Amino acid sequence: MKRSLLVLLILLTLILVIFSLTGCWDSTDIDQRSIVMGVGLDTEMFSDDLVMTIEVPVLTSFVTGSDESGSSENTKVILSTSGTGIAKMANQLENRVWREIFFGHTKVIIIGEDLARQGIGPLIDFFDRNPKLERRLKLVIADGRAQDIFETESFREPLASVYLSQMLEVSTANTRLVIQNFQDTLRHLEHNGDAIVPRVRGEKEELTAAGGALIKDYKFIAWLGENETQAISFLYNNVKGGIVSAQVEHALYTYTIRNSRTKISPHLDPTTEKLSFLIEVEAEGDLVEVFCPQAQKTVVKALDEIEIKLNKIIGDEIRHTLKKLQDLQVDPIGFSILTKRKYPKFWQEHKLHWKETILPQIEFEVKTDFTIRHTGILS
Amino acid sequence: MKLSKRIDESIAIIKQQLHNTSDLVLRQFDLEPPQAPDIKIPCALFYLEAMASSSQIIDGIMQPLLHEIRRYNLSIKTTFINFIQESVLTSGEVDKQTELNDILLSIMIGKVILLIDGAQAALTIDVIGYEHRGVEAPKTEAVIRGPRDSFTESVIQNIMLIRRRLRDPDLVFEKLTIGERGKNDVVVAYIQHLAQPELVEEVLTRISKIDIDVVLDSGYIEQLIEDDWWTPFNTMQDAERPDEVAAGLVEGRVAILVDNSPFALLVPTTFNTQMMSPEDYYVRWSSANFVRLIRFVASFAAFITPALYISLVAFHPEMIPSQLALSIAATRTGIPFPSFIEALVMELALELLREAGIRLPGPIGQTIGIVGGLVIGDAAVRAGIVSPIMVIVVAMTAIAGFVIPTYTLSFGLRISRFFLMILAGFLGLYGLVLGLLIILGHLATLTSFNVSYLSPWAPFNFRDLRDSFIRAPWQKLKRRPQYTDSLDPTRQTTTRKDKLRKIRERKEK
Repeated sequence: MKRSLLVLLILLTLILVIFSLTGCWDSTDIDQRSIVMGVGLDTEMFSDDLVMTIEVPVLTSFVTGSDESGSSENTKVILSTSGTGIAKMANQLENRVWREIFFGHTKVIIIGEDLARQGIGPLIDFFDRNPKLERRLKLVIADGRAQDIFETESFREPLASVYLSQMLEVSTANTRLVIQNFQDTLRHLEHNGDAIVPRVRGEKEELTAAGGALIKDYKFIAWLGENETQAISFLYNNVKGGIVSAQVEHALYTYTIRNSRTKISPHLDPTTEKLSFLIEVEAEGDLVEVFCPQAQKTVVKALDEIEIKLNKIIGDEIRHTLKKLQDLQVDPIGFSILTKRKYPKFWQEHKLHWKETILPQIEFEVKTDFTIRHTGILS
Repeated sequence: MKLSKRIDESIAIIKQQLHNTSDLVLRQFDLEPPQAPDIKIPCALFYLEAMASSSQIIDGIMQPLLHEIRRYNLSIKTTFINFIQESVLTSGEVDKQTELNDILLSIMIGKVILLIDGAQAALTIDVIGYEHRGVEAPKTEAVIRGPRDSFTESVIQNIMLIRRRLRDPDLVFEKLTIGERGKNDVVVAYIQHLAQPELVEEVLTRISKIDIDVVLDSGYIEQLIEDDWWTPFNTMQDAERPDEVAAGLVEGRVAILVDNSPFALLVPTTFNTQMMSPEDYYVRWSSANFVRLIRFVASFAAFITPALYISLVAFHPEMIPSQLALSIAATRTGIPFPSFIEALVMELALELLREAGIRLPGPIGQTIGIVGGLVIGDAAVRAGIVSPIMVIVVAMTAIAGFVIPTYTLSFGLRISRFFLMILAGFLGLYGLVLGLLIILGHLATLTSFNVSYLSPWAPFNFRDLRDSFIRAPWQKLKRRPQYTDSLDPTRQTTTRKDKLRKIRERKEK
């Protein structure tokens, strides 16, 4: 009897102790957090400090169906602070929003052009370490200052970060962007410090995402145009849509790409020790438009003639882009990985001066095979 | 104690033993034996008012004794009391008893006692005819397709309902009398040569060991003989439907019927058997499988939704899709309570409504349900006490909880739900998973008459899986489930397909 009473007392004490724990465990209700939808990082004008900008939605404006939510109200708060470490700056911001800063729903991390040129390695460490971070978020580089992106007024989405991330996700049909999430970018960077991330540009009322920023050794070095980005997409074997067009005589033939497959295989000549890559692109597409400004009636040329033309256009784009990468001595595609896998010995010998000596001398053979599947119902 | 030879002494003894209770009826009269018109033998009838049928007393006892007795010849070889028992009385069951205790019990059951002067015994005549409820539609196990009768409080009628479905000479009903004061009938039903004899023996032994005043419902028996009485989960299935019991009996299970209880008990019981509705076997297998899938998913949802809500909102908001997270956060702004308290209060309110709905008289019960569900819920949201998402969570739990076909099982799950909520409130998803593991571990340790509660999943039994998450077509259910360890494992020797093939082959010849 006494024993069972003791057990009961111990249990009761344990239960009571639980209630004294309030506040010191990691339970924080969702409305008690500041949900950061986007983070922008820039250089400080007059010092070496960083500027961190966060976009936080005003929760009351998101109550749908309630009568009080007026459209005139602010839907977002944009806060900036300057300092040195990301975590330290986040902590400074916490004092201003008086809530826990929460990165679990962050959609985009935007790095300003100037800061990106100084190097992005130190900036992403904080985000790489955070286990609550959604790995599908997008790391982008702003053409200009990252701060300005958040200031753009969009007519579709109240939050610029959400709008931007949606734009980057829906653009799978558009090859003029390299679609990569944070995890992909990190993987590329960890390998050899090179990567391509999307470029965003924010003007007063417009937000555009097109082209890419070339990163070499964690530093931003050059922009890539839209056609070059399409070539990169082919090389990444990541073309899920998009269009190509060819001018044959007076007509402009436009095709949508239905699916494409790229195979890259290295080849090392055993005698000359010369490295070459064979790049085979197989793609299928549908004819969507023949645009003839001169003739009133569209004249369709033989399909194989157009196919040859298209193959040349895509091939030339890829060749041009590869040349540019070689000139810049940057390898975001991962030719080094392929070499390492197939010729580990050769790689071991040359890995220290890979980008400087081997990469510019690689010979690329590009084979494109574009097949036209449908020509539409117009007979 | 015995009766006296003199009738007036016997009457006095019985009256005294029954404390001259007011519902005891005594009718005294004189009998004139045939061929001896001058002799008058004093007799007495004892019975309890409203327990014996008065029309049967008149037709089956009084009429033969007073008027038709003259037509018979009294043989010298037999005693007068035997003559009455064997030749005169036309009622169904007439016994001669000498022990006073037996006689008293017969009166209590509702039998009529005939005392005859000079005999040191009494005749007990079975003319039981008390009022009871007729067969009605089942209240807790309603089906759309299938029979609509359910058990009543009369065990005789319940036996009849089962017997009508199973005209099997092997179907045995064994009657036991349990209860020191109640002397209640407990009937154990099983099919000889089908049910495992050890199981039958075990059931009979456990029941006969019960030592209690009175058995008012089968719930008494259930709680007194179940394997584990600590657990919130029931290890014996209560069945309101005779078809369910009949189906259980032909699977080799044992049923326990209790007088005055419209719920029979079926053993052995597993978690799986309680997730089945009789309707699953009446509708086509595709529909049955669809419904079973919904049932299992919904039961699990009802079990974890509030705990999941707490852990996601309070601990892991990054796991909610962003748009939803924003709208949850937005609707939660201004709610004064943490999500754990909010969920606890709402779930308790739901239980309150449910309990009130049961206790309140019929028409008011429904009103309370509507008032509670809609008005209070809506008003609470408007007043900013709970968030609309929480109302959705509670409503979902409530609706999903009702798909569990067995009321008793859903009770166990409801209690465990609060356990999960508390764990989730303190430890988040980690706590939820921990709680699920604890409950799963607990379920795995349970047995019902030495059958594992989680069978056929643990221990794994591939054959029995045909009747678990899925219900195989009847063509494929050729064997009885194996968990009952039935003596005759085959249910169908040939299927319809085989029969058709045989017919075709015969025609070809």
